Amino acid sequence: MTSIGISNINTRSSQPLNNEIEYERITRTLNYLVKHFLREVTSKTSGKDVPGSSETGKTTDLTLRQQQTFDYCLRILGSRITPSIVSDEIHVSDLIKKKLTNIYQKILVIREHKSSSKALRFTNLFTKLQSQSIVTRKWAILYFLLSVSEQSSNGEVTGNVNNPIEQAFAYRGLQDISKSLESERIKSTSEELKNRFIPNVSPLSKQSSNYSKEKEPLPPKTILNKQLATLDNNNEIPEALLLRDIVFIFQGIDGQYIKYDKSSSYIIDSKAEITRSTRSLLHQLSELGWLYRRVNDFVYTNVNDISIGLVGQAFCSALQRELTEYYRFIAVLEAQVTKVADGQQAESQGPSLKRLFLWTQESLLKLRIMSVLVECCKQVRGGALVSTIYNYTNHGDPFIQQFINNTLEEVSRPFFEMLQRWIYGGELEDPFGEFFVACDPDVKEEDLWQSKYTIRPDMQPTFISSLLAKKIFAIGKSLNFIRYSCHDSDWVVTNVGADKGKLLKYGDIIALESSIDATYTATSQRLLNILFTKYKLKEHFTALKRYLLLGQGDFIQHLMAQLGPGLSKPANTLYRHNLTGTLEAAIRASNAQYDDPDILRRLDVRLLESSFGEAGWDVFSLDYHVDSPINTIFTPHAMQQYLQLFNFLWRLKRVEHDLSSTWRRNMASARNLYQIEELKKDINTSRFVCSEMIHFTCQLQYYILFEVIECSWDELVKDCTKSGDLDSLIEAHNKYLTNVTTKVFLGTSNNQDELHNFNLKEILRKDNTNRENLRMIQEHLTEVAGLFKREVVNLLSDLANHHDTDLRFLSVRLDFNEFYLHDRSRKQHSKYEGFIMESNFGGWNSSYRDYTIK
Amino acid sequence: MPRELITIQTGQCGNQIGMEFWSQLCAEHGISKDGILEDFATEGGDRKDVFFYQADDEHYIPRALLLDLEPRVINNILASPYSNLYNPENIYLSKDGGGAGNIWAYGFSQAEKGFMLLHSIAGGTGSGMGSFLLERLNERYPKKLIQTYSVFPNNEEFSDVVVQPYNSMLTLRRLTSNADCVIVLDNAALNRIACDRLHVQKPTFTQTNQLVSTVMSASTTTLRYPGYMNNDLVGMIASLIPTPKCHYLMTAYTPFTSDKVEKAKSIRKTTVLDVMRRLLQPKNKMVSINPSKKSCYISVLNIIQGEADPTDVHKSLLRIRERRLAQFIPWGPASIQVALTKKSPYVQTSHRVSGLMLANHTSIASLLKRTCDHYDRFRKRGAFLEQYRKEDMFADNLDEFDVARGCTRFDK
Repeated sequence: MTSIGISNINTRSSQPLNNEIEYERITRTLNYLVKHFLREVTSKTSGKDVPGSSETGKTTDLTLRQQQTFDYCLRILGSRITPSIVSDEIHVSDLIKKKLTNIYQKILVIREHKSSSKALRFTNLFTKLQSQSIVTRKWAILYFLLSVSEQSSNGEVTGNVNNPIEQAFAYRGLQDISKSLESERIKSTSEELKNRFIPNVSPLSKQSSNYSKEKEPLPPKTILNKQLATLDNNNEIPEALLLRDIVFIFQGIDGQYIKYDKSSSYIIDSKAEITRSTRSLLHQLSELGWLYRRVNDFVYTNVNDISIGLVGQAFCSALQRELTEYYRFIAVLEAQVTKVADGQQAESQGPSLKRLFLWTQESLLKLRIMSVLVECCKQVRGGALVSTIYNYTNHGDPFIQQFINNTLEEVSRPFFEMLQRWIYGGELEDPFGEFFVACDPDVKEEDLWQSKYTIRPDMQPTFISSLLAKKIFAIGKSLNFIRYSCHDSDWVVTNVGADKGKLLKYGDIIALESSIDATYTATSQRLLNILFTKYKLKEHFTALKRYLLLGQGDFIQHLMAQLGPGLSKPANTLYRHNLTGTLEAAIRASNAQYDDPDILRRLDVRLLESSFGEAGWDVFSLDYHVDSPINTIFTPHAMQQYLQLFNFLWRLKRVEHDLSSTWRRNMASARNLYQIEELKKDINTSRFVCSEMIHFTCQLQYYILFEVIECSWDELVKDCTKSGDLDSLIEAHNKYLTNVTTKVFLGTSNNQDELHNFNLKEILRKDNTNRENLRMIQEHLTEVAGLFKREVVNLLSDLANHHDTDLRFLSVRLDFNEFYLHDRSRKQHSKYEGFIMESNFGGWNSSYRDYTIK
Repeated sequence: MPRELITIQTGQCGNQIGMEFWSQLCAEHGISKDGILEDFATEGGDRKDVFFYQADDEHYIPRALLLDLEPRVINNILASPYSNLYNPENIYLSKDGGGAGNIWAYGFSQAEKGFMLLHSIAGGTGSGMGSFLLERLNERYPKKLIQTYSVFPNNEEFSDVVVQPYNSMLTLRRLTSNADCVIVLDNAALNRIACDRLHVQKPTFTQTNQLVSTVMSASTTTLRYPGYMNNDLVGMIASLIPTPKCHYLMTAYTPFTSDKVEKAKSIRKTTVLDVMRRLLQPKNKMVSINPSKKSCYISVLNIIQGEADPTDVHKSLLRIRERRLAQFIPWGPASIQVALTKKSPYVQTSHRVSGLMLANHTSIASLLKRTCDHYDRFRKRGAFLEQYRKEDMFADNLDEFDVARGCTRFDK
C-alpha cells in the first residue's frame, strides 16, 4: 500500500488548526498531497502489482477525483468523529501487521514471499514513524490506515464502492463521496468547516465552490479490493447457531463451528462466515470453556485418586461444588438460548453473544481463579496445598479474596481435623503425610520426646506462624509423652473430652491461636506438674548435685575414707559388689540416709574401662540411674557430663583428702621430729609446700563450689520455676551443665598439679620413715615444689588473661596476697630480657654484616 | 570418716562456757532441754551426731565430759533446765581428777575424730587438769585432733587468782606442744566486746560466755551442716595452720545482737561486705592484741552464715584486696577463705548474715609474749612459788622460749 503518502498527509494534518493561516496552509498541502497521492497510486499499481486490472482507471478523471478527495479529506480533518477505541498505536500496528500477513497469506498464497516482505516493510516504516518525535498523533495515523484497508476489503465484499478511501469514509459513517458531492452541500459543509476552523472570519465560499466544479470520477479499484474479491459471497452464520455453539463450549463440548484443538485452544472454523468482531467475541467467550475444561480435568483425574491425600480431596470437592454452581448457571443460559432458538423470545431481548459475554463475567473470574489454583496445586499436597491457596488470600479484589477464603475453609477442613486430634488427643491421624507433624514409629519410647516426632516445615500452612506451629507440635508431643512415658492417659482422655466442643476451622486465626495457647499452657503445666510431683524431677536435680557433684560432703568424705585404701590398688582388683557395699555403708553413715529411698536406689558405683596399670582411683565413678521419663531430661549426654564432672571433682576431693591427711601426719610427727635439728629446715620447707597446695586446692574448690556450681544452680532453679514447658526445662538444665562444665575444667594444668601433689605426699611419707635417703628426698622435694610453683604461676597467668571474668577472679583468689606476682612478673621480665638480647644480637649481627660489606 | 567430736569441759570457766554452748547447739538443732527432738525439727540436712549421740530413738545426748574439781558450776548445771541433757556418767567431780585419763577406755573413743577442750588457762582446774588431759590424750590418741578453746586471763586487771601467770605458763606449754589448734579467747576482749557492742556496763560471765558459745557454734557449722567444703575439721584447720607451731588462732564475730546477748542493739541491715569488713576490724576481735605495723595474717577463714550470695562474697573480696584491709604474709600464698553455711532454721535472728572469722595472725604472739612477760616478772621475784614446788614442776622457761619463738618468728 501507499503508506508513505498517507502518512505524509496525516503528518501534516496533525498540526493544530486554529487560525486562518493554518487553514490555508492545510488546504494547500492537502491539495498537493491528494494530487500526488492519487497519481502515485495509479502509476504504482499499474506499473507493478496488478497490471491488468489497473487499466480500468481513467487518467482524465484524475483531477476531478483529486478535487473530490481533497474535499473529503478536508471534511474528515474537520470532523469531530473519533473512534471509540482506545488509542494504542502498538496495538493498531500489530493489527495491521497481522492483517498484512494473514490476509495475504490466505488470499495470495502464491505471493507469499511478497506479502511477508510487505509486512516487513510495514514494520520498518512503523519504527520510523515511532522514532519521529514531531508527529504526535501516531495512533491516529495508523488507525486511519487500518480503517482504510479494512474498508477496502469490506468494500470488495459488498462490491458497492470502488475507492478504498471513500470506502473508508463510508465505513466510519460518512457519506459516500460520489453520492454526496453536490455543490451546495459542499458549500455548506465547507462553510461549516470554515466556521469551525475560523469562527471569526467570513466563509471562504469561493474556494469551496471551486472544489465543487472540479468533480472527477472515482479512481479504479485498488489492488486489494480485487484480491479480496476472490472470497465467497456473504453467507454469515446466524447468531443463534453461534450461541448454541458457545453454550456447548461452556460445557466443554465441541460445537459446530468452534472446536477444541489438540494444542489446547479453541479454534473457530475459519471457513465459517463469521464477522471479525464476532470472531473475537467468540474467542473471548471460549476462554470460559477452556478454563472449565482445565478445572474439570483436574477434578476428574484426582477425585478418585487416594494418593492426593485428604486435603487434596477436599480441594477437589471444593472445586466440584463450584463447578456444580457453574453447571446451574450454564443450564439457565442454555434455557435462554433454546428459547430464542425456538422463537419463544424475541431476539432483541434474548441472549446475544455480547450479552453472554457480559453474563459470564463472574463465572469467568471464578473459573480463572480455580484454574490458577489447579495449576499451582498440581504438585503440592497436604499442608503445602493449604499454604498455596492461602497465599492467594492477599489478593486485592474482595471478590477473589472471598472466593479464596471460602475455598480455603473447605480445603483446610481435613487439616484442622488432624490438628484438633493432635492437640486434644495427641493422636496423629495422617495417612497421607499431610500434617506438619511427622511421627517415626521406629523410635523407642525413651526417645519419644527427643526424636519420635518431627516438624515437616513444608507442610506447615503459612497462616500458622512457626511459633504457633512449635506450640502445636509441643502440645501433641507433650500429650503423647504424658500418655506413653508418664503413663497418665487418664488426664489425656479427660482433657480430650473437655475440649471436644470446640471446633477448629480456618478463618479465625486469632481464636485458633488463643485456643492453642490455652491448650499449650494447660498441657505443658500438666506435664511439668507430673514430672515435678510424680517423677520428682526437682529431687533428681538435687540428688545429682549432691552425689555426683559432691554436694553431700559427709557422704563423699565417708565414701572416700572407706574406699581410699581399696582404690589405691590396681584397677583390676576392684570388685563392684565390694564397692556397692561401701556405698551402702557411706549412705547409712551420712545424712544421705534421710534421702528418698527411690533416689538412693538409683545411686550406684561404676567402674570405667580399665587399662593395664591403672589404679582404682582412675576407674571408680559414682553413677546415677535414670529411667523413663526423666531420662528425657537427663539424656545420656547430660549424664556423661555429670560423670565427667564427678571425676574431676572426685579427684580434687581426693587431693584435698590426701593433703589434709598429710597435714595431719605432719602435725603428729611435729612432736616427734621436733628434736632433730638437721631435719628442721627440710621439714619446714615441705610444710610450706604442703600449705601452699592446701591453699591452692581450697581456693579452687571454693571457686568451683560457690562461683560455678551454686551460681549455676541458682539459675537452674530460677529457670525451673519460670519455664513453661519441658523443652525450656531441658534447655535450662543443659545450660546449667554446660556452665558448670566449661567453668570447672579450666585447663589441663590442674590435673598436672594434682600429680605433683601426690608426688609430694609420697615424699612426706618417706620423710618421716626413711631418713637415710635424706639427700635424695631433699632434691625431690625442691624439684616438686618448683614444679608446682611453675604450674601455678602458669595457670595464674593463663587465668589472668582469660576472657571470662569469673576465671580472672579465680586467679585473684589464688593469689590474693600477690605472693606469686613476683614470680609472674619475673617470668614476664625474663621473657622481655630474652627479647632484648635477641634484638641486641640482631643489631650486632647487622652491624657485623655492614662491617663485612666494607 | 566420722567427724564426731568429744567436748571436754574442765574447770569453772570451761563448764560455764560449755553450758552456754550446749544450750546454743540444742536450739540450733531443735533439741529440747531434755535431749528430745522437737516436733518442729523436721528439716534434715544437719548432722546432730557431730556433737550428740543417740541413747535411744529419741534422746540426743551431748558428747561431753564435764570435769571439775569443785562442784559449784557442775551443780549449777545439774540444777538448770538442761540437767537431763547430759549423761550423768560423763560428769566427773573428783578431787584428784585421776580417773579422767581412763575415761576413754570405754565407749566412744575409737571412732571419734577429735577432741574439743574448753578451759581457761589461768584457773586452777582448767589449766591444771586441762594440761594434764592434753598430755594424756596426745599420748593415747596421737592421731586424734585436739582443738582447744582456751580463755586467756585479763592481763590488764588483777584477777582473783594470784598464781595466774604460773598457771598460764604451764598451760601454754602443753597447748603449744600437745594441742593441734588453739582458739584463743581472752577475757579482756570479751569484756570489751560485751561493753562496746552490746552496750552492757558490767557484763556478766553468762554474757561473755554466750559470746564464746556463739563463736564455737559458728565455727562448727560447716561440720554440722555438711556441704561441699569444710565438712571435715582436719581439712578446715589444715588450711589455717601451715606449720604446726603456728596453731594459735584468733576469732572475730559479727554481728552480736540481742538474739545472742540480751539488750544488744540489733543490727538489721547487714550485708556480706559489712560482715567481712567488720571481721577485719580489731574491735570485733575476741583477743586483745596490739597489732604492730609488721603483723599480718597467715591465713583467714570466714564462715558466713545466712543468705549470702556468692557474688557478694566475690565483690567483698575484691574490695578488701583493693583497699588492702588485710595484710598478708609475704612468704607464701594466703587469702581470705570463705565458707558459706546455712543458718539453723530453728533459730530466728534479726540479721540476714552473720560471720565468724578464724584467723591465724602473727600478732597473737604479742598476747603470748605478754603472758610470758607476766610470768617472767613473777618468776624473777619468785613470788607464790611455794605451792608449785610441792608439785614438782620444772623447766618452765623452756616453754616460754618455745612459745615465744615459735609464734613470733614471722613478725620479722
